[in-house]
Amino acid sequence: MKKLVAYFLIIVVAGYTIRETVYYGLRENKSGIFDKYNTIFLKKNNFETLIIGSSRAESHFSCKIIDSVLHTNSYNIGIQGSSLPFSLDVFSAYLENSEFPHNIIFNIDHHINACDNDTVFMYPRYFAYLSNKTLYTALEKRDGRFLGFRYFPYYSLPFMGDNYLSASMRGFFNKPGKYDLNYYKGYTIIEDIKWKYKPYFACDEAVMYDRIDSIASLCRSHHANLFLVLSPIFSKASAQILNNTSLIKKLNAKAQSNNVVLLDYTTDEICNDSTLFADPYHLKKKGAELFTLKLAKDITPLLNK
Amino acid sequence: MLFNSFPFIIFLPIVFFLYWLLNDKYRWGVLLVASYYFYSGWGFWYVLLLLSTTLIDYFMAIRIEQATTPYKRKLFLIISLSCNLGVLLSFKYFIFLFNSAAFLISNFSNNQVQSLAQIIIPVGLSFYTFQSIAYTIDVYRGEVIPEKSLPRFALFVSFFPQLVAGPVERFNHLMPQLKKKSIFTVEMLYPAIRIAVWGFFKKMVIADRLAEIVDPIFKNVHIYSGATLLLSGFLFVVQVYCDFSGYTDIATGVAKLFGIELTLNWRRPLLSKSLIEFWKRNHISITSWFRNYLYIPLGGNKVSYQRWLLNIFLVFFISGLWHGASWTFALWGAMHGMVYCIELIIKKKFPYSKTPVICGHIYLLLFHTISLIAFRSQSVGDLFYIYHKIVGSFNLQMLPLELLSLSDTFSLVLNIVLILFLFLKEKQEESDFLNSKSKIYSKYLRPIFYLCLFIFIFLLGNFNSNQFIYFRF
Repeated sequence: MKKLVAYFLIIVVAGYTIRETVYYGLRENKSGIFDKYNTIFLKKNNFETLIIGSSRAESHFSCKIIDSVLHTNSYNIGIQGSSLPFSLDVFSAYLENSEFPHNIIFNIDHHINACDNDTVFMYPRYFAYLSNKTLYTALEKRDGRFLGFRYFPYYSLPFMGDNYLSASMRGFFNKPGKYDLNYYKGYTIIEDIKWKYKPYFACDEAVMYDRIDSIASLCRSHHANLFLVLSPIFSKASAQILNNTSLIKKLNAKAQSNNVVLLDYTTDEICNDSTLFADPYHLKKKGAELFTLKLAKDITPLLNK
Repeated sequence: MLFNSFPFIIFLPIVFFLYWLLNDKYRWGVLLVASYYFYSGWGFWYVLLLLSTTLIDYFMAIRIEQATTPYKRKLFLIISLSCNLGVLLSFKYFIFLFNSAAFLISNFSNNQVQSLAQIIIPVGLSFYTFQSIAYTIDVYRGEVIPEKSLPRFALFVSFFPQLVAGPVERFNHLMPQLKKKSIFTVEMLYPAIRIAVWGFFKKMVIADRLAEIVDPIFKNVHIYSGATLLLSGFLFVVQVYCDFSGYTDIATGVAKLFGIELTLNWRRPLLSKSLIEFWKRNHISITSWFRNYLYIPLGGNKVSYQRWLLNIFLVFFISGLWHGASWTFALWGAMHGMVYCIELIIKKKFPYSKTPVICGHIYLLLFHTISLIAFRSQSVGDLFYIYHKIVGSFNLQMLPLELLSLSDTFSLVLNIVLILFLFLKEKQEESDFLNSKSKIYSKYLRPIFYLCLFIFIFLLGNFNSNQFIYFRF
C-alpha cells in the first residue's frame, strides 16, 4: 500500500513539475503570440498608447506607424477572438502589473452578429498566465473549467498539444517560430481567408454600450484620452449588416454622451479596395499600414488639443 | 462507452470498488450489470441484440447436450449457427451483397437497380457472435459442458473489457475464472495498471497521432505522390497495430483488476520475418478461431496438397470479409492468403534455406504495408489508383513537402521518435536486452518507465475520444 501511495505522490509531483516546465518555456518566448501574452499579463509596462480590441485591433493598428507619427510608445493588446467585454477584461488584466496608459485606442467590433459570443477563444493559450488574478477571474466567469485548468495539471495538459509544447521548447532555446516574426509590439498581420457573404443583423445589446460607459469613465478618472475607433470593413460586407446605420448612430450618440471621440472608418475609401483585405473584416499588411497612418494623422491634432 | 473517455474513468472505479467490497457470491452479478450498462452506452437496441444472441446460444447449448440422437444435436447446432450468422449477415453483409448484385445487374443488363444505404453495425457484433458460436460448437463437439446458469452465461458473452473488440475468449478459459473465488491484493494492481497504461499510450499517443496524418491522405489520395501514399500505408500499419493491440492491452489490464486473465492476443507481430510467423503473432484469438471453426472443418491439412492450399486461401479470404463487408477487405484477405500459400510452397521446396533476418523484417513490413493499403482504402478504385501511383509516380522529392502540409516539423519529428520507441519497446519485450529479471529493472527502471508513459499520455495524447478502429468490425 505504501508503494501505491508513493507512486500516487510521484505522479502528482511529476504532473505539476511538467506543467510548470512547459509554462516556463512559454513564458520564455521572446517573440510571437506568447511574448505578447507575457507582456500583457505578466510584465510591468509603461506604454503611453494602448490599442484594445479583437483580432481586428490586433491586425489593423501597426504600432511602428503609431509610434513614428504620434511620437509615442504604443502596444497592441488586441486579442484574436475576443468579444468587446473580454477585450476590456484583457485591458484590466494588463493593468494588474502595468501603468495606466495616456492614450487608449479602442477598436469596436460593431459588426458582430452573435450576441452570445462572449466566450474564450483558443483557451489553452491563457493557461500559463492564470497567476494574473484579473485574467483568471475573467476566464473563470466565462468558462468554469478554468478552475480545473488552474489547479489540476492532468486536467489542463491534454488540452495543450503539440503546438504549445513546440512553443515552449522554442522558448527554452530562444528560437522564434514560423509566424512569430510577424508580430511587432502586439500587432500582427493576417493572411488571406476565404469568405461567403450573407445579410445579417449585427448584435445591438445594452451591454456593449454599458461597457463603453465604463471604459470612458475609467479613462476620465485616470485623465487618459480615449479614442473609439470603427476600423475598416470591406464595403461589400458592410452592406450586409442590415442595422449598420442605426448601430453607428447609436455609437456616435454614446461617444458624444461620454465626451469621447468616435472615429469611423467604415466608409473610408480603404473599404472599397478588396486587395487590402484578407477577409471582409481583416486588413492585410498593406491595408493595415495605410489605415494606421490615416488614423495616426487624424489622432495627432486631437492629442494636441 | 469508450475506454478513452471520461464516463469510463468514472465507471471503472465504481465497478472495481463494488466488485471487491461485495461478498464473493455477488461479484459476478456486479460484472454482469456493469457489462450490460457498459454496452448500453452504444444504444438500447444493441443490448437487445446481445441478449437475444445470449438466450439462443444458452438454450441451444443445453438442448445439444440433452439431445438423444446425433440428428437432433446437429439440428440444434444449425439453429444456433443460423441465428448467429443470420444476425451477422443481415447487419454486416446483406447490404454489401445486395449492392454488389445491384452493381452487376446495372452493369451487365439494362435494368437499373438502386443500391442501398449503409446501416450502422452494432459495436462488437462480430466479436461476441464469434465467441458465442465457438461455445455452441464446443458443446456440440463435447469439449465443453454447457453452462446451466443463464446469468453466468450472459456474463461470459458480455464481459465488458473484451465485449466490443475481443480477445475472442474460449469458454474453457474464461468461465472458470468468472466462477473462481478471488482475493484482492495490492500487488495484483501493478501488472494491471502497467499493461493498461501501455495500451492507453499506444492508442492515444501513437495510433491517434498517426491517424491525424493517415486519415487526410486516404480521404484524398488523388493529390499525393506515390512516396507519400506508401509512407501513409506504413504509418497505417503502425496505427492499426497500436490501436487494436492498445485496446487489447487496456482490456487485459482492466480484466486483471478483477483477477481475470484474458487470452494473449498479440505477440509483437511487426517483428515477424515472414507472413507465416506474422499470423502466429497477430490477432491470435481470432486466428485460432478461424483455425478451429473454419480451417479444421474444411479439412485442415488432412487433405490433398492443392486442397490444403485452397483451404488456407479460403480461410484468409473469409477472414478478410470478416473485417468488413467490402471488396477492399476481401482483396486484403486474398493477398494474405496468396502470399501465405506461396511461403508454404517455398518452404516445402527449399526446407533448409535461410533468409537474412533483416531481409525478412523488410519483406514482412513491405508486404504488410502494401496489403494494408487495401484494408484502409475507401474503394477498390482508390486502391488501384494508390498502387498505380506507387509504381508509376513515386516522386520521392515531394514527400517532405506533402508531409509538412499535413503536420508541422515538431509533430513529424515526434511521430518518428514515437514509432522508433514502439519498435524498441517491442524489441526489448522480445529479446529482453535490459534483463527484466534484474533487480534494477524491476525496482527502478520499470516504475520510472511506466510513470513516464503515464505522463506522456497527458502531454502528447489525443483526448478527442477517438473510436477504436476494430469496434466497427
